Amino acid sequence: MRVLDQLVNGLALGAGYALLAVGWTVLLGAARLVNFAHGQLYMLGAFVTWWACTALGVPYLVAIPIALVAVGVLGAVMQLALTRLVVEQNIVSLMLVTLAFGYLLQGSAALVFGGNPQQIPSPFSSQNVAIGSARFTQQDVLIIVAALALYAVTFYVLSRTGIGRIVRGVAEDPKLAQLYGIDAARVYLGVFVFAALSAALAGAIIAPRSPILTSIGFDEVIITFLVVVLGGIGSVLGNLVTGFGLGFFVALFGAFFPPAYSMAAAFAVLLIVLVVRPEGLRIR
Amino acid sequence: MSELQVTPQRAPGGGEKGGRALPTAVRVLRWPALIVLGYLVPVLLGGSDRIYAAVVLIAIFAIMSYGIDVVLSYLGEVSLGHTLFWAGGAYATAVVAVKYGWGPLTSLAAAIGVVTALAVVLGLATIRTREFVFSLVTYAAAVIGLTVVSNSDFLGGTDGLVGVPLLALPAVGGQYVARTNAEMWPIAFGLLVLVVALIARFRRSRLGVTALMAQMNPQLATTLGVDVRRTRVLVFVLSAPIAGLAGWLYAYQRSYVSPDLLSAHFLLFMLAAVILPGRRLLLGPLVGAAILTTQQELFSFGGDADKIVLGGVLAAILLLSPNGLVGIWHTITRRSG
Amino acid sequence: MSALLELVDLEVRYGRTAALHGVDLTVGERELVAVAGANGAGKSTLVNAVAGWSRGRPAVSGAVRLDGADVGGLAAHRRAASGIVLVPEGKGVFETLTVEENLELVRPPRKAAGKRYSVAEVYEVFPQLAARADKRCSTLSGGERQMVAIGRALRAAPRLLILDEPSVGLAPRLVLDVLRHVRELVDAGLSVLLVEQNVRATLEVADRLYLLEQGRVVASGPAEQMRDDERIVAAYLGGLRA
Repeated sequence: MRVLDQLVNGLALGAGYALLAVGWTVLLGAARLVNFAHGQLYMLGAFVTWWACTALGVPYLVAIPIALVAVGVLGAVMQLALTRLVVEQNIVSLMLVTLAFGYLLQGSAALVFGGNPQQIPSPFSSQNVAIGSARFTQQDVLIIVAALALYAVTFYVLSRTGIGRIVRGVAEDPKLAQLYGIDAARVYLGVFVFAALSAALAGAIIAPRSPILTSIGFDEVIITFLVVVLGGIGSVLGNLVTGFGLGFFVALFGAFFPPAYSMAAAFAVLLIVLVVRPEGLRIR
Repeated sequence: MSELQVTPQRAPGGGEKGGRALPTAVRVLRWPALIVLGYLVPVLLGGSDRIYAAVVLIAIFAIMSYGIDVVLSYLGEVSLGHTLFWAGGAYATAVVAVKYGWGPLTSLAAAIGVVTALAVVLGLATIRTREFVFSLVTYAAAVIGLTVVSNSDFLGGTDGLVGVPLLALPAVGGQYVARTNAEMWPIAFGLLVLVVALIARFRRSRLGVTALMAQMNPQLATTLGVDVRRTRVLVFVLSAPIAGLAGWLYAYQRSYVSPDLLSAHFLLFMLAAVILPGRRLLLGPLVGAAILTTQQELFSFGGDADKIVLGGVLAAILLLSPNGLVGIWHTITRRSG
Repeated sequence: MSALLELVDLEVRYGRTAALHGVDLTVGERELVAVAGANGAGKSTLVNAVAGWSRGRPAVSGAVRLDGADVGGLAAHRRAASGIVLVPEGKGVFETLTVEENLELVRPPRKAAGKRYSVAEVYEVFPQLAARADKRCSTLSGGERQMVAIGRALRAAPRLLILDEPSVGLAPRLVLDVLRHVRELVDAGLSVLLVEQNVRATLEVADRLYLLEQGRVVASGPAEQMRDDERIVAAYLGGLRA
């Protein structure tokens, strides 16, 4: 049945959206840093995975950590360049610089990886799992499991551990955090690297679903943004819920209307929400 | 718009320097002289086709950048949706000119009408948002615009619309037809002068002063009776037709429109054109557009490498000197005495 | 008595305007030293220069010495580790965190500068906080928040505790309550630099007092003497009935 297929598809899509958004929302909540290069980090996660598989010939599951390390290092370098702006909370410059970084990364990736669409050879993409009449691949299962696991870990760390207290403290008042002996710049670095890693992970395991181009980052940041603003900035659980919600919405919309317009429709929903409730659909 | 007695505050290093110190004759003749000189630039550079193509593009891209300049410099908000107005103007022009055979003046009216309507919708939808939410929503609007345009058969899909006719304006004794870039130049330059004059007027207007106040200190502005939200929307809506005008001209200059108008390239270009020279300078966007266009037209390294250049230039200037080249200049002059 | 904190010819400028002109000040071991002055006298500037905690980038000259070592070049979190711990004016606690989370957030430095206080020991100093351990600080009263802020500072094992205007926003009865707690801490071995506008309450607990006017120290001495200083009386105690 068509609707059931789409619901299953929506589950995988939604898990992917949620996975893409988790790092961004933590970063925005803790450092008030809007990273417009997030989509390009996703793109690089996907392309480094592809490169490791095809050029180095390593198995898919080995390629993923290689991509994580590469993008993690890149994230650390970016944050070190941004530290002064983050400490000054110069939000306008931060947005513009990350936008510029993203464009720079896109150009660099096109030079390095070429302009052709590529396919990440994941062994899980061809393995089907059937639930009733609906089918999905092991790759879809991997995405859902990874998303739920990453959210569980993030939620636990933020709410129950010392690191979480530090991050929440810096999020509330970085200046006050200094008096607690916390080096806010190090917290920003840690959070930024976490966000970069989660974007790379998302790229490495979501991208095998479809061919990849170096220009995909442009769209990905919009999905992230829809999830984060609708779910409430900095609200981890809210993002998980809206991630799945958006997945179902896109899947069902695509079943009845041209799929190309599904993001436009989701955006229209966002505009209405912003007019009615500017603070988003925060779940506390 | 009535004039306020207050002079707008200037950015550090902004504004025309030393205006008061100049003798009256020089002050009166300064702008006409600059305009004549500007018009003669392509002739002075040799007048080749390549030069004319470059200066026409500089004029078009400068007008485009003045659109976002109004919002970025005077309102202090980062709109990432101005490609929507630029592309909207170009697409509206192409649709009515190619599909319905409208002339340039009616197509201009259509372009202005379409982008103003878009700006009103977007401006009202974001009326309660600020800072990054505003930027994100405008950015999303542009990206969504790109997907819609790329998938719409009516708008030509990924191929765009081709066959925009030559720009033929009614003139004394018939028509002025811009067949070449050299013939396009007087029109492009005239519009550029018009837009710069409009920006100069805006800077001195009540709305311009209010916008700056709303940017610097919204609370204070509110206590002085300024409706901050209304100011934001007005300035945002005012900025859209400027970008739309550039799009109108670009459609005729290039004779086709395609979804690349909504790409990150033009967004980064207009932002860099404003930020590179330094924000809140009357001629800043023109200088920025000239620098960037010259690099891309005359000293290009190829598409992907140019992306690295454009992204790198914007990132570097923001990290090293947020006040742009003027900021660097001031640091140097201050150090040397 | 050797000085724990020593400010020598401290000058702070914001651009072209000087906020402090050559201030000399000492705080000894187990001493409660107060700095009084009107708004704009330079009290906050002094606090920021000692704690290294400031948003602007003022130009600081002169020396800030802790136990003879110059700490003027250290960032705020490093000064905290060396034993200079600030309780800032106004908001001194994370409101989205609970009392206990605020107290636990501070890791006592490995080489503790002063006495280490465990969370339990902070509750001994401020018994009323124990009952509110799991409450978010946004739900506390002003006096309780100030206690959490001081308790937080104690957790960092301070040698020198700086209190910036602890009385702001507190009812008069609570002001003295908080200051008496501070006095007990000093008697137990802590050194405190107290910056206060409420001179009357301050004089009841302080050992010595400096009077700051327009960025300069215009009077200083033991609290009993300062009580009778005509400038203090005129500016701060004058409203009293005879």
